[in-house]
Amino acid sequence: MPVTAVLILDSRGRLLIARDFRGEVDLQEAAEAFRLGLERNAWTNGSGDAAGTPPLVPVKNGAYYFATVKHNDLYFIAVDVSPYSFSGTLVAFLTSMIRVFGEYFGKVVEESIRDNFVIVYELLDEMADFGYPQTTEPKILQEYVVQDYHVMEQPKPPMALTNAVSWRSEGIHHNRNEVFLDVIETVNMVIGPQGNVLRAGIHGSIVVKCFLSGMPELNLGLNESIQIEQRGSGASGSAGTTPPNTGAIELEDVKFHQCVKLPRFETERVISFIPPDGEFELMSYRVANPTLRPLFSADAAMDMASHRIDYLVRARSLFKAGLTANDVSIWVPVPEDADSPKFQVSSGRVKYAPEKDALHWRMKQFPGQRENSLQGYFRLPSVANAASRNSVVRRPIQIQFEIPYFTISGMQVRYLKVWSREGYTSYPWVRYITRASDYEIRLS
Amino acid sequence: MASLSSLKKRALHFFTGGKRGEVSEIREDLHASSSTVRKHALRQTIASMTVGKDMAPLFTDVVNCGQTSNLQMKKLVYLYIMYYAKNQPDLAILAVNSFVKDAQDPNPLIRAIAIRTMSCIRLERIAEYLVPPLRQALTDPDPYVRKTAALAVAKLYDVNPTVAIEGGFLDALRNLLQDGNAVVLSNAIAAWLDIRRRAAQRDDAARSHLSLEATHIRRLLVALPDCGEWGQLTLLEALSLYDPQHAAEAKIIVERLTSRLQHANCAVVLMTIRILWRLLERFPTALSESSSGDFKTRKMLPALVSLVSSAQPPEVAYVALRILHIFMHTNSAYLEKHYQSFFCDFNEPSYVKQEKIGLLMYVLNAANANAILAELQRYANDVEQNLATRAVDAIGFAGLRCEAAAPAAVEALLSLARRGAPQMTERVLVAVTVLLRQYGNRFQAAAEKFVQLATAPDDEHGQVALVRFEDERARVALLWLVGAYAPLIFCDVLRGSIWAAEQEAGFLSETHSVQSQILSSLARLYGRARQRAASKSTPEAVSELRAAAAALEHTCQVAIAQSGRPEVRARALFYRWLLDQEAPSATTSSITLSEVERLAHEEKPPAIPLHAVFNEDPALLQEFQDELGSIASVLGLSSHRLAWVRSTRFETQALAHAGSDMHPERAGGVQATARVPLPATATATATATERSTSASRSVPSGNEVPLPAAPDHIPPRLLLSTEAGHGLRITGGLVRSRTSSSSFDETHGMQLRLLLENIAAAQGVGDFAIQLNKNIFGVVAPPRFTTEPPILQRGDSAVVVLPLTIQKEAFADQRANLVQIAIKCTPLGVLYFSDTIPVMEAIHATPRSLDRAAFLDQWNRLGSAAEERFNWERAASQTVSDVRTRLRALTQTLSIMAERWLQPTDASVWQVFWAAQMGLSAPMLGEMVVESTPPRVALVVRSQAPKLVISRLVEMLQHHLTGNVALA
Repeated sequence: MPVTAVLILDSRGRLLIARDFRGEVDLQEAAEAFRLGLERNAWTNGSGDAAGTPPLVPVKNGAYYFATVKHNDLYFIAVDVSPYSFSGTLVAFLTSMIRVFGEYFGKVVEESIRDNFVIVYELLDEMADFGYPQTTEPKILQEYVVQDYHVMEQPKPPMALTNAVSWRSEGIHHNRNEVFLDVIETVNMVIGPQGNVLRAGIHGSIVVKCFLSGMPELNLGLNESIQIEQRGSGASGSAGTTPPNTGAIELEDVKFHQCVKLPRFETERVISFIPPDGEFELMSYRVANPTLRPLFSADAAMDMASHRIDYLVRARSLFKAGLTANDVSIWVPVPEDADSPKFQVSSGRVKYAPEKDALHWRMKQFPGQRENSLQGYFRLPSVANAASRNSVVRRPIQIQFEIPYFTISGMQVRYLKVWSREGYTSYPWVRYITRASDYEIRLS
Repeated sequence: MASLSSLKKRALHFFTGGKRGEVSEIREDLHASSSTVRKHALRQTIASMTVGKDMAPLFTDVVNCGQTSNLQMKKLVYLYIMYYAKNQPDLAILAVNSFVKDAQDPNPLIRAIAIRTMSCIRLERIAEYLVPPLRQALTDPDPYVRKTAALAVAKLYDVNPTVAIEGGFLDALRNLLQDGNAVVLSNAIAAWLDIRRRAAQRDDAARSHLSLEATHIRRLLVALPDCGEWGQLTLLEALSLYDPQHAAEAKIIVERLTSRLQHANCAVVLMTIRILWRLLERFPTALSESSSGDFKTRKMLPALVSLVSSAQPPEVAYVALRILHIFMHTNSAYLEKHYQSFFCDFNEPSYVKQEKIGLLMYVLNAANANAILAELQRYANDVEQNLATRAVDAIGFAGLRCEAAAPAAVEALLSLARRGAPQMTERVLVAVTVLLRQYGNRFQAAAEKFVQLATAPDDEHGQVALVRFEDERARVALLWLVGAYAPLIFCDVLRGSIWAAEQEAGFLSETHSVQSQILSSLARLYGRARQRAASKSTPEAVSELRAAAAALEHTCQVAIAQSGRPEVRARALFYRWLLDQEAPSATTSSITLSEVERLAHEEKPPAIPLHAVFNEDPALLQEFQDELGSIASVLGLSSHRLAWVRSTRFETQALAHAGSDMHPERAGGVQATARVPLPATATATATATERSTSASRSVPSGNEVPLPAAPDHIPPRLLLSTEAGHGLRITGGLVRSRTSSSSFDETHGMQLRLLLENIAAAQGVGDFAIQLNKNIFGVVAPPRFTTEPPILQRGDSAVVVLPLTIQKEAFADQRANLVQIAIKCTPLGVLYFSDTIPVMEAIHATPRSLDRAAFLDQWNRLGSAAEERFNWERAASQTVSDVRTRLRALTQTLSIMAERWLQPTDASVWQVFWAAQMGLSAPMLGEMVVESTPPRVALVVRSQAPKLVISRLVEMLQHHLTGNVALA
């Protein structure tokens, strides 16, 4: 269902640019109504934070509805007059739109929008017509919506726009035909104060950087122990029970880029596709009920006296000794009113980050099966709010890290076959990496 | 580059804020000879326009710049025109020429942009200029232009529906539905749906044109994988409005769509879920066979839960969570197992956390209760107040919903009360009181601890906590706790705390619900004291009883004398009357106690957003499932409160199965009408059977030769849906009756047959009157029903048959074969609907007045200008005489004027002249030559009748005479 209009507002809700697709709404008025709503926290049940405004709100007593996606403090809004419009379209269109702007402007911030009004209008006109999304494939748009015309002759609409392969144009040429595959797994883990895993989730994605000529067709093979949904397990294999062969990785759900031939995957379990040129996310997956052991453990002993608080933080890496984690960041909560930090660490650097009320301990490298520690203290003012001091332990320790050459689920690429009419030899490269996305260790 | 340096100077001037003459300066630049300067000036114009400056005075100057081959400049000019055309309609017309010219440009990009921009200008007058270039663009060789033109049709309809309909654009759009290019197809569908929605809003006659048939649906399914993500979404939306008739068809759709659940675009996934869910609900048995195991939990719910995961933007997660709320009711088992997906992450926005907490309290069961309650307890300690209170509510509700979890919930609330801030304690008290009321005396010990905690004297004031609570609900909750569980000594404390501050004003300043609760709590305390005194009459017990009585009496007096609320006074009077029954009989205390207990039981669980609504109104749940993912469904807005038309489904054939096994409840509804003795022509039971037989007949109806209808046949066309008719559903339509076929009366047997069903209208519907708008057939209905149906109560139905008469005044030479009908009835008022008449049913033989001479005269007069020629092949096995017999059988449709054998010897060439007519429109005169070798039929039709009518007649003849062979 159509998008009535698109608005881009700045962080305080003031209108930067608007494109009206259907002439059904006074956009100035709509934007102003939304700004006032933000000011009065009309959609946050009275909590004092406009950041809590949900992405779908009725404006002006339901005269129209706003779907909002927030990005870098800008509000990207799809306006719709009908309550029966499909919310998924609005949200998905906005996220795609932001991605396209990102490809064009680098960083999508207020300045880049302001400097590029004309191109924003042009892009919006190509991305949606009469409010119906048309194409949001950045690579294709870049072929005929360009910022500087004087170099080029007049562009024609790329064939891809109306082809079945709407994400790749004909006639692409690369001297070296290379494909890079990144298998990236992000781990969510919440670890209790006793070191027990409260919750764990793995979200994986395969990102492809494709520099191949012509219209190549690729087949991707993953390791055989992967089970995408439980097939043939019959009635007993209801979700949640892990199959007896413990080596198998059970994927709960897989999502593919639009280039993947979904019916073929459905019937033959082959991941077959004609890739877009450049970088894209080929697939993403969710591992069902992983039973994981922690990759890192940490604990913080805090000793609060009347004028100072002492810290002893220990962090231990629990993965194999051969591996090394890179860019490890550990955030330890600190009372709001602490000052004058004094710290020493066995490895890396430590910084006080008052804006987050945390200690930021960074290590470039952290090999497996090691332990590092941090020791030090803060001064505290003598007059204190007991409640806020106690709230320190309610916040978790958060850890960020990256472990290359390692997938925590065991996912592996077995082969990547490239078939092309030109018959060139291509060089696929595969990298594995495991990252922390939300890795928390609770203190109480 | 002199121009460049001057450009720089100007730019500098512009940005340093040379306010004076800014517009005039730009105007100067717009006329500059250098295209670079002009382009720059255009950019400035657009930039100023965007930040809200009025650039309208430059209109003519900007339009002048459009005379360029530079695409970039053209786009800028177009952008400007779109922006200002509304305010400057006269000037906008000036730009028309350049649009029309650009629509002929060799570059398809320019052609498309010209069409796109022109159609975006929302002026009726522009619409007229748009007609020729748009017609051309719809058949453009380049698909990019065609796909733009498809949407331009929708825009045209939006601005000027008359031009769109009369210009034949709807038919052109229908042709695009056959386009080989999937992208063009998807845009054509988008335009189709757009016009359909708009027509429904306007109650436009075009609406009934805009159905999609099973053949279209099949095409959509095939084209689906060839579209881009957004095209797929459009096709899916069309599919979501289609109800397949058979389980087999549903199965095909499910098989084709299942793979879409793996699509990276979340909108595609959600729309697929909407469709599949509906199909699975409608054909549960048939579909569960095909896909072993539970399809929903194996495929759909995982896809939905994935959208909640942290890898998705929080906005997507929010929508997915709201949708999960709807599924929670029917399919909680899977989600209960995957409860961990709904634990909050530390960095998530609060709206996601709120939704997750909302789900957690529903997925809680005996197995996962401990894990979830521990998690909720954490959120209750969160610094963010909203989240914390929501978590407390969730704990209370979880305990209410799942009895096994109740002890743990009470325990959790107790530990929160121990260390919470006063605001939190209020919330906890309310939650726990609900639990205690629900489970009677099961949590005696915990309840007493609560009383201790809540009434512990404040450090600073030394008063009971009651005074500290701001919230009315919290005060009531605490008072209830005190009454039920506090030590008896507490009456004095309670009395003291109420009266301590400002004497009577303390009690009277309370709200009435608090006043009532004070009274009942005191009564409850008194009752307990009495019981204890009765069981062991120690001096302590007696003095306690005395104190309780005094406290109650005092409060009652104040209440009776001074409370402003009648219900408080009444309660006080009642308690005092109980007290006055001095005799220590058991009655007094038992009445008081039972009273309190009854009140306790009446207390409802707290209202939970979204779900409480569903419990009361299952129809709403159904509505939200049908509209799954729509804004209304996500926000939980019921259609009763919205002034918007829901997307109507494609109801053409689905109705035909109304009586079959798939809708037992509906079939029951029709059967039930047999109870009502109807004075109408056919009984309702007969109708039901007729409808189910007509269903099997009507499927290939497009190809069948129409015969006049059987006397009891009601056409299975849905004319007025239950929603549009405010509960009254009307099916039926115009038919020709077989009963009157013998005589050529004036009406040619035209009848309006209606089945009126009161599906959901609240009151009885009756007192009907009817009127037809002017139409192509020139038929009118009698103003009142000839056989007045009785008042239709809910669930009743009646059949009405109205003979139609033809009147000259009622004739209107439209292009559409449509009759608009209005029915007036009480209490629903006037209902409008329309029926598309199968042209074939209306075509009839010409009256006797057209004899041979008149025929010849007309034939010559019309001449070759009004002539159309058709040729078609027929099967070689069919002899000429076969064709002859078949044609002669059509006595009702054609009058044969003359016939002869051109080769009399071997009967190989036969020539026939015939005439036919529809209503009062011009007669159609035909000459047909049938040859044996080659086996061919040549047909010439001369007429001024509408093209539509002629082509339908020819189609019918071809089908009837030669079987189904395509036109040569």
